[in-house]
Formats: sequence, structure tokens, C-alpha cells
Amino acid sequence: MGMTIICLVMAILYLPILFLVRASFAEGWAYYQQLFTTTEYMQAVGNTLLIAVVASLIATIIASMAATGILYLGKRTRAVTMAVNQLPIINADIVTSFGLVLLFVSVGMTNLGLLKLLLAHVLIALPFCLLTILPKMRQLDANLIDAALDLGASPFKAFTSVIVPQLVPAMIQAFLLGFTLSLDDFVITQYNNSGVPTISTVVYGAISRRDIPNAFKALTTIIFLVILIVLIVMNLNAARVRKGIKISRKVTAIILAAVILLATGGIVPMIISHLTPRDLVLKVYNWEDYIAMGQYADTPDLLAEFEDHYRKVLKEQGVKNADKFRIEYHTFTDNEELYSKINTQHSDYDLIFPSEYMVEKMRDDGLIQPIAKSRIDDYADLDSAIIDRTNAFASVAGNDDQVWAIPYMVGTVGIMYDTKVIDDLAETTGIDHEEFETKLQDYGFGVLFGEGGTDVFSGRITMKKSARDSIGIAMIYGAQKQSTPDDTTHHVDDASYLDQQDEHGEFDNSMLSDILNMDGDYNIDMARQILRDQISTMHPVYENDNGKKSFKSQEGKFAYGLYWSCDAGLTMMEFDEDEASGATHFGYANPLRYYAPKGTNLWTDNFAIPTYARNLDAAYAFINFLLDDANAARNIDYVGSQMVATGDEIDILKAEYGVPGYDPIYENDDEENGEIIDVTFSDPGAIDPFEDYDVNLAVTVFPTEDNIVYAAIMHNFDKAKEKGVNNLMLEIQNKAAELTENEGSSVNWFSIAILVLAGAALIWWGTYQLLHRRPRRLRTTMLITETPSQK
Amino acid sequence: MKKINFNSRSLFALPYVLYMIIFVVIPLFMLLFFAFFGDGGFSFAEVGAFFSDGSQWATVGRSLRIALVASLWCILIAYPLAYSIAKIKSKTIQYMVLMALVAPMWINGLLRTIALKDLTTMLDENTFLHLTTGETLLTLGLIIDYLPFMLMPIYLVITGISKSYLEVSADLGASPFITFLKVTLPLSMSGIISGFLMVFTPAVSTYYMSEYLGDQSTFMIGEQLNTMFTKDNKSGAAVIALVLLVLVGVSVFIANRISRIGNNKKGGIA
Repeated sequence: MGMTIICLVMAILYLPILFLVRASFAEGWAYYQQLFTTTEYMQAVGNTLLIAVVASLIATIIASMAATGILYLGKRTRAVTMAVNQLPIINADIVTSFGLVLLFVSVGMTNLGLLKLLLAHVLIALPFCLLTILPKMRQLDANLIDAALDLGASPFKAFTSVIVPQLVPAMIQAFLLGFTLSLDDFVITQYNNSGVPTISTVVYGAISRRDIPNAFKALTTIIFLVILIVLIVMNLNAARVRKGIKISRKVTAIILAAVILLATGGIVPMIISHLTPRDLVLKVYNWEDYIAMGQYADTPDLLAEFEDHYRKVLKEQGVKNADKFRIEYHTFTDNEELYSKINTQHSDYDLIFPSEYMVEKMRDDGLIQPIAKSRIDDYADLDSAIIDRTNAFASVAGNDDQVWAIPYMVGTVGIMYDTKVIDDLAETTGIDHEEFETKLQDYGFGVLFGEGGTDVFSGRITMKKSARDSIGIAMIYGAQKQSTPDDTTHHVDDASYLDQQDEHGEFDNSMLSDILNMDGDYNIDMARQILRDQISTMHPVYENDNGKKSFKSQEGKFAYGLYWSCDAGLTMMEFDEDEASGATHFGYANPLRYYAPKGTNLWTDNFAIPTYARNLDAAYAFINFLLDDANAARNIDYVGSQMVATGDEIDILKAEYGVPGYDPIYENDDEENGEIIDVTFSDPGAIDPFEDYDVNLAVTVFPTEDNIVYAAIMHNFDKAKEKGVNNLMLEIQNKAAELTENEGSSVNWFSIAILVLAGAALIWWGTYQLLHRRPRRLRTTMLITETPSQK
Repeated sequence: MKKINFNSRSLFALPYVLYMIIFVVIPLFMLLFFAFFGDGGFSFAEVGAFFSDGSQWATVGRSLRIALVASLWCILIAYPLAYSIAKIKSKTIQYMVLMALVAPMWINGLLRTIALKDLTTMLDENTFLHLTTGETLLTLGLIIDYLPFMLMPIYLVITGISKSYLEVSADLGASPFITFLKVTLPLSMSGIISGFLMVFTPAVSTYYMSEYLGDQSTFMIGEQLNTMFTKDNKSGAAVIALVLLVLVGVSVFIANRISRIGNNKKGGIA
């Protein structure tokens, strides 16, 4: 019986881990190789182990000293100390972490890097260490200390030579406990991290778009093996003890040594990185999974290629140790994370990739420096349609030779939809995918809000938790509704913001921009009303910013949703990739499509150079490398988003994607097997994004001219406005949760069963106690006075 | 030097006390400060905003319910588990089993959480199981992640119970079941209660678990704190942190009351 329970629980605890272990061998030893050859991963592992070992060591030492001292404290002081000791144990770790952040921010200690994490991790371990050591301390003979002191030993000497030796087993226990808690921790690390890669932060960064980094599956296997070895060693050791040979300390020492060895294994690359002269390192801070770096077998590794390329450049310049040049590549998950790294921690990244509104904010706060156009190869050749639009935030006032930022990736906000789900639902909704596409064209973003009879898709649509995007789109739809207030349906074509013209008769986007940025007559109340109504009529699912895969992972659940074009492109291509590799067989053609309504948000993520950058030459070289048409083409092919680079290779790529107007010329005129070697241009006429999958994918990755022209760019919000948007988003999430919870039809037996059981037990227990109060008191008091832990 | 008084001996505790004051006590006052003075000048605005929204209270209630369910399941699983381990004859094997149960924590919590999600997604696709339904999966994740925190205190208390009580009970004619009910269980109450608190608090305040394992309907208060924190709304986040502090404080109080009813001794934690 007992064994069954133990085995069962063990199985459940280890199942997810074994699942990872199995997954780690999906491509033979490739993931293991990746783990040991990727600097970022090795640094993360090294840092994590270093922090865990050092922090728990410090905590153990402080706790042993404290345990000695606490026994001599007055009774009241001791009680207070012990109560304070319970605070971090009992307190929610998120509250503790947040308190620490406030502390560090208030005293201006933000740029402490590893030291700050160490301090925080000592806090994780310290209370537990004290609780482990204190009972053992109580069992020590206090006279021993007195004797040592009487014999003339200094308090320190008395501590090290009398107390410590007797406490060693308890200290080892405390150390292991602290070590375990430190390794497990995510929250405190995440909150107090200032640019030190650890396992937590790398995993957190990576899951924004994909699952666990493959290399960390390998890492899990290795840790699993370590656990196994520790258990086997314990077992062997026990066998020896039974035979009367005591070597337990030696074995513990060996285990400790192994752990420390592992830790130093990771520290070495870190030390190397600190020793490399700064001009041989390019520090890049980019969005996760936003560059081709060998993710799939056929994906180029642009980082490695640039390293090779730049080493040659440096060699030609006669730089010493040019071969040591390398990129330190870190990733972030949102603009705010990037901002705080640069603003509060002054991290010395050489190249960063902020979005448009963040460029404005960093510009205003003096965090980025202008980029000299003259140092960009062929700046004049960059895609002018996009550059013209981005001048809104990128141009440097009164200086035509510089820009604050150059667009890296460009795209739109639109609607992703699943034609198969829509067709499957057609019987009940009466709307098949062709009809839906007509509605998309007619009502634009209105379909997200039930416009034109689309409320039949209630519960099958998604929105974004990202406040600026969901609220911005609600604003645009609100303005569309306002344009024809007397009608029951509101067509996109009648929207007044699309009607604006400047003196040249061209489209003037200032009104659209006011709407999106809540300027002028447009304020957040419009969005609040629309989003609240949407919750009760359309029951949208608000996706995490990292829930980018829902159309694939929750296949069949959602009909359509708010999407960024880059994610749409990536998801569509991943579907193709899976189908091609045979990983999954859907048994039908790719059903995913994307459509950006007229009058949307045009977003850009941009190259920018921080004020604190320390290797400008390499930063410029890297920008030029990525804007080179051949490299850009390969990058676009992976990332799935338009870049501003132009050139033959880009044209060929567009032809490969089948962008209308780019007619391919095949090698030997062989359309079947020949590669595209050149492109002729034709007038595409009106592009129909609904024509077929290929055209749709092409215009998703490469936005049409209309997409770019009839769109507004987000501007930076002031503090009050930003708080307003974020609070509205939280209000909506609370509301949505309350609603879905109340409507949840599936009964959660999991909860009900346990609550009933617990309630019954509590009532039984309470009644029993009340009925038998007096005798029990007597008896327990009697028993308790005998318990050995009482001193 | 020769005759050292009590005070200088207690100096050993100084580094510890200093550390705790700086990194535990002061941050708590920081929270208070930011909740009321965060936007410059004393104001009830943030606190008021929190208390006036009804959906907000639904979120607090939901967080409490989810955490309570997970903690109770943990007790239900950890108690027999700890009992079975304590009944193993060899101490070494006891330690080995404990070690094996705690060791998964060497693999980062976030990593295990996502592994669980991937696993259940895979199971959902290939078996009859339906675990990817928000609250169920979230509860499962909380149980799996926090079980060691429940196991350890219960195990320690159970092994601490002197054998003589059990023998006395048997000698007085009690069946093993009655002995368990009347001696072992009451004496292990303090372990159950500290375990409960160790599981309940992280569970009620979790954010990454509810984010990755839950869905729309499991929006929890920790997620809200985290969102406010990442959006640099320090005063708003401080209010939520205070609410969490109060929730935890109240649960400690209740837990201590419960353990006092059953046990005349001051039980539980704090």
C-alpha cells in the first residue's frame, strides 16, 4: 500500500520530466550539441548554478552564525526574530520579489547584475537554512562554547572550531535545501534580473513564440541523470554503512564537488566573455525568435555568418585577436522589458530593436543615439514606401544626415482566420469562408465585434492581451461606427477616417492616427464601451502575448482573431513546415489566412543604437549585414515579415512567394525544378488577398501598398494615458474571467470533490474537538511536554 | 575578553538580523509607501480603484478557491505519502525516497510547468483525457509543483512522533486505526498546517502557472500584480501586493486558530 502510493506520486512528478527527456532525443544528440555550443545557454546554466551554489553557501554561513547568536538573544527579541524569519517563507514570492524590486529601485541599486540576484537568492534560502540548523544548534551543548571562550578563544575561533564541526551535517542539509530552492525559483529571478541570463530567464524568453528551447530539454535530461546518480550513490553508500564502513562525508564531498565542477563548467565561458576586450564583442538585444539563427535544419545561422564575416573585416584592419570576435545575443519579450534594461540598468547593448513608439520614448529620454545615414550602405535604396512612413518617428529634427532608427521588420495588424473552422461551422452559422471574406472586406475589424451578423461566431474569436493593440483596434472600430451613426451596420468604406485627403489629393492619415493614438476628440471611453460590449456578445478569448500559436496548437477551436501579420505569416508557414516534415498530418490544405483591413495599424520594429553602446563599428556592420539583400531574403524567409532591404534577392524571394507583380523567370525555363534566377515586373492590378493560399501568404509577409498607405503608426503615450490603457485591459480581463467562469458549463469535479471532503472532515473534526475538549487538552499537554524538540 | 557577556555572543546573529531587516522588513514598508504615495502625494486613488471594481473581487475569490482546492489535494496526497515514507524501515531509503521526490525541483519550476503543459497537450491529442481545460490543468500543475512543500513538514512531524505514544496507545487497547486517528493525526496537525500555508500562499499568488496552464476563466490576482509590474504601474502593483499580504495574514491566523482548537499547543507557523 505504502509503496504503491510512493510509486504513484513519483510517477506523476516525473512524467513531465520524462516527457522532456524523451523529447531531448528527437534529433539524436543535436540538442545536446546545441546546449554545449550556444554561449547564451551555457552562460545561463553557469549563472544559475553559480547563483545557487554561492547564495546557498552564504545563506548557510549566515544562518549557522545566526543560530548560534539567536540562542543568546532575549526571549522577546528571539520571538520577534523568529517571526520575521517566517515572513519570507509564508509570504507570496511575488510579493517578496516586488518588495525587493521597490527596495533596489528606491536606493538606485539597479545595475548590480549578478550581485543583485545573489542577494535575492540568499533571501530565498536563508529562512529555510535557519530553520534547518536551529534545531541542531539547540541540541549542542552550550557549555562547549563557554568553555572555548573561557579558554581564550576568540568568538570567531570558537564558532569555527567548536560549533561548525558539530553542525556540519545540518549545514549540508541547509545548503542542499537552499540550493534546491534557488534552482527551482523563477519569480524572484525574473523580477530582480538585470541582464544576467539564467535558466529561468532564457526559458521565459523562449516560450513567447515556441516551446521550451530544445537545448533545455537536453539540460533536463542531464539534471535527471544527476538526480539518478545522486540516488545511486546514496544507495551504495547506505550499503557500505551497513557493512560498517563510514564514508558518508566523503560521498557528500564528492557530490558537492561534482556540483561545483558543473557550476564552474558554466562559469568558464562567462569569465571568458568578461575577459574579451569590448571591441571584440557585439552585444545585441532583440525580440525572441526574430532572426534566422539555425532554428531548423535548413535555416541559415546569420549570427554565426556575421561573426565569420566580421572577423575577416577586423583581420584586414589588422586588429589583434580578430578571431575572438563574437556576438553576445540576448532576447526580450516586450518593449517595456527592453526599456527598463536600458533606462534603469544602463546595459551596454550595442544594437537594440525597439518598436516605433518605444523609439520615440527612448529618443525623448536620451537613451538612443542617432544613426548616421552615411554609414549605412545604400541608405537611399531602402524601401522608400516604408521609410517615408517611419520618418514620423525616425527623422532627426533639423538633421537630414541622421535618423533615430531604421526599420528592421514591418507589418500590419489584422485578422487571422481559419477557413476550415468557418466552413465546419457553416451549418449552424450560415456563413461559409467565402461569405466571411466578403464580410471581412465590408466590415473590417467590425467582424471582431459582431458586425454584420458575425456574432454567430461568439466564443470562437481571439483578441490580444496586449493593451495597445486590442484597445487601438477597438478605437478604430468605434470611429467606423461613429461615421454612420444612423445605420444598423457600419461599412469600413464609409468610415470617415478613410475619406481624408491632403492638399495633393492623397490620403491623409492624421485622423486615423488621432483615433489609434486617442488624440483630439477620441478618448479611451469609446474603446471601453466597445470592449465591454464585445465581452458579453462575442465572448472573445484574450490571448497572452505569447499565445501566438493558438491557431495551430488549439487547431479547430478558433474561427478568427486579432493578429499581427508577422505571427500570422509565421503560423501559416509553421503549418506548412509541419505538414511537409510529416510531423502532423492534417489531411487538408493549409486553412489559415490573414487579412489586414483598410485603415489599420502599421507597426515596425527598428534597429536603434543605445546611448550606452560601446561597439558602434560592429553595430553598423551588423545592420549593413542584415540589410544586405541576400541576407535579408534568407532572414525574411524564416521570420515571415517584410524588411526594408531591397535588391535582386528580395525580388526573387517575392517572386518565390508569388507576390502579385513579381513574375519569376526560372532556370532553363523549368518551372518544376528550376530555381528562380530573375524577376520581371508587371502591373498586378487590384490584388485579391482571398484568391488562394499562396497569394494570401505573400501579401501577409509583404504588405501591399494599400496596407502601408492606409494605416497609422502608434505614438508613445504619456504616463497617464499609458496607465489608462493598461488599467482598462486589466478591467477587461477581470470582467472576461468573471463572465467565462460564471458561464463555465463543465463542472469541475476536481474542486467540488475535495471541497466537500474537506468540509466534511473539518466539521467532523470541529465537532469532535468541541465534544471532547477537556480531556484532550490534558492529554496533549502531557504529551507535548515530553517532545524532544522542546528545550 | 575573557568574560564575554550575553550580548556579544548574540552578535553572531547580527549579519542575519541586518540582512532580514534590509531585505524583508524594509521592503514591506516600501509596499505600504508605494500603495499610498506611489504617484506623489498621499492618495487613496489606487486602493479605491481596487475596492470599487466588482470583477476584481471575483478575481480575489477565484484565486482563493483555486489555491484552497490545490492545497487540500496536496494534503490528501502528501499525508499518506509522508506516512508511507515514515513507515519504511531503513532511514537511508526514507531519505532516498524524499530526495527523489524533492529532486525534480532542481529542474527549474517554469521549465517543468511548460513541460506539463506540453505533456497534457500531447495526451489530449492522443488519448481520451481532457486536461487542457484551464482550471483542472492549473490545479494539477499547482499540486505537482508544490507537493514537496506539503510533504516535508508532514514527514518531519510524523517521524518526530515518539514511538512510545503509539505503543502506549496499543497497550491501552486501541486498534491501529484508532491510534492513527487519535494519536498520530492530532500530533501531525502542526505539520499539516505549516504545509498547508507553504502551499496555499504560493498557489494563491501564482502568475506564471495560471498564465501557462490556465485560461481566460482562471485569471488570478498574481497575474494582475505581474501585469501591473511589467507595465511599470508600481503603485497599483503595491496595492495588490498588500491585498495578497492581508490574504496570507488572514490564512495564517485562521490556520493557527484551527491548530489551537485541536492542539493546546501553539501550532503552525508564526
